[in-house]
Amino acid sequence: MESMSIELEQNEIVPKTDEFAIETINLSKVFGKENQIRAVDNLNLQIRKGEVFGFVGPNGAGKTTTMKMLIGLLEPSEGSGKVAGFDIVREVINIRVTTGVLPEPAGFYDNLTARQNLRFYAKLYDIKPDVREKRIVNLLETVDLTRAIDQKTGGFSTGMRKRFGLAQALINEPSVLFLDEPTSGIDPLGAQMMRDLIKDLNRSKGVTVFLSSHSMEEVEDICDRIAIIARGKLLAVGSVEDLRDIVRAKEGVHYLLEFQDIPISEAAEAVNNVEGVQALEIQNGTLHVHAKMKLRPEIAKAVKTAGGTVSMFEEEEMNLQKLFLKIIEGV
Amino acid sequence: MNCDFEKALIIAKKEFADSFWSPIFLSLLGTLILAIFAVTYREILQTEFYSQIGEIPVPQSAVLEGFYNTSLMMAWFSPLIGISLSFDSIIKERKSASLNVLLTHPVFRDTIILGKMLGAVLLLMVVMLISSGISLGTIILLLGTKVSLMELNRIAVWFILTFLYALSFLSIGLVCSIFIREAKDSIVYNIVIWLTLSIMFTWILTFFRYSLEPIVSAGSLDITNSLAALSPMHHYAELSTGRASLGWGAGGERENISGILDIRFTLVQWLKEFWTNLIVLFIAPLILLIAAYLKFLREDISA
Ligand SMILES: Nc1ncnc2c1ncn2[C@@H]1O[C@H](COP(=O)(O)OP(=O)(O)OP(=O)(O)O)[C@@H](O)[C@H]1O
Ligand SMILES: [Mg+2]
Repeated sequence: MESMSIELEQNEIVPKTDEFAIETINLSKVFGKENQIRAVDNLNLQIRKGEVFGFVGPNGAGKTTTMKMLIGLLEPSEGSGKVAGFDIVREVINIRVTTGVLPEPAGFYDNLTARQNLRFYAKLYDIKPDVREKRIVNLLETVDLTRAIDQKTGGFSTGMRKRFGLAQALINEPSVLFLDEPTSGIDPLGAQMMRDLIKDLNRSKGVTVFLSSHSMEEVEDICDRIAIIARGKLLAVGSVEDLRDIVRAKEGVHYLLEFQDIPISEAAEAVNNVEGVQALEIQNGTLHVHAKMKLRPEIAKAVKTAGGTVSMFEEEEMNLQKLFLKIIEGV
Repeated sequence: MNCDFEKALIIAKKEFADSFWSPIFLSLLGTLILAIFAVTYREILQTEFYSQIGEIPVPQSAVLEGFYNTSLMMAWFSPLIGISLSFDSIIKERKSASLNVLLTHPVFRDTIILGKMLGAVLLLMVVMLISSGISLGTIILLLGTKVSLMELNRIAVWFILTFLYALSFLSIGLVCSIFIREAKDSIVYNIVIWLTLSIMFTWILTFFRYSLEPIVSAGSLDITNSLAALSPMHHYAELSTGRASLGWGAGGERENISGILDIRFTLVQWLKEFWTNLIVLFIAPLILLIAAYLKFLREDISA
């Protein structure tokens, strides 16, 4: 009887009502005999509940190491952190119960079927058999593996393995999901499916997602906010627009303009007089303007004063790929 | 420590089923069952034949006499069973990255290693039960006699001895599977260790025995004795059959008590004669299992 009541308690762990789903304070990890490798260096992150958070950085940046610390697989060398309100050192068991993880690399028991694998993982959470069996069927349906439910995972393709990995991470209905490179090694169609799944989970269940990826396109597509990390150090964090502002502040703004009612050279002269404009160039009837900061109204006004109208006024496209390269430049 | 026994049992169950259905294990088990049946059968017929024509005295316990050859075979076979249950148990989890996934669920390394040990040990016990059962079954079938309580007691002790002996090799396999990264390397190391402890060892020992015999000095005997003490086979052989060594090409000379199967002596007399062997057979697997456990936990820090 006593063990029953303990079980019930464990099953009913609700995430503490803290503001953030994930929070780190000066989180650091050093490796090596003489502590020469600072894999993660004073990381401060705050991830809100229900957010899809992207964690990007070059190989060896410290993404996996950070995730390992957050799920209690590695002890931090310095600093602290909380996941779902639980301390990442002292309350690891609670973190494990409230989170789901798709690690990289991820392997399963390939001599067992998808169903048997999930059953094994489910048992580790004391999920009741009837609930468990239903959940297994539902999860495999969610990740489109219904037809493979009684196939051995050993025969799965890379795409199927990734989707199965997502299913095993969801077996305990987690409130926070850690996905380490969830689409690496799978074809574009499979990757799109994975992204849709992640978005859907986030929307329908409100699951907070912390994912690392090398695909900027993917991160831009599904993440609300993004952190860029290199050599263990956090370089920038925010939405894509926030990152644009960061790059703008560092590198200035690049505009493309076309005009009517005014020769382009005259317009160029007018623009050149605007304070903050740093360089100009005319290419195939388009004026390229490099400004220190955002100067859209000022430039438009100057052209108008010179008697012309602006027929096209665009900012050079800055997708995450470009932003990422600019931000990690020289690190 | 966060060790959770219930979860260790879940892992043990899976490990048990995994090993049981592996082709290596099943083929070993099949061979073992056949061999035990054949060996027991032959032993019984031979004993009956020779005692009928008066070559040897009628054995005091025909049932236990039937176990002598099984013992001899177990001395060779059970290490392989032990090794087959553990040589890649951690390696395959690491290689396939299933350990990576398992560790993200609410289990910790101590629970995992404990579960793996439990699973393997339970399966070993089942194998030993099957083997003893086959041996005993064949004997009863052929002799048509009843087994006395005393004989059953002796068989039970014999069972424990054989189990402990095989457990030593299971533990060696487990240690290897934690230290070594490739399954094929691990199996080679295990076989080399097993061969060294059985064949090579008895070669060396017999060489010492016979080359030093003419000048029987206390020193030379000490050397052979202390060398023999390194081999689990030596201890098992003495405890079960009273032979100093069962190795390939070894003399296999019997001590005055022919081990646990010899009912001319009481259990106490047996214990007095062989208590050191018994201690070694208990301690060796224990130390190895603890070493495996600690090493597996320590990897937490580096990886
Ligand atoms: N167990 C370890 N021992 C020593 N160094 C380690 C260990 N784990 C990671 N490192 C080092 O820490 C750094 C960060 O590694 P990490 O795996 O976190 O990078 P990552 O951002 O996940 O890279 P990738 O994009 O290649 O997956 C690397 O320099 C790596 O060599
Ligand atoms: Mg990584």
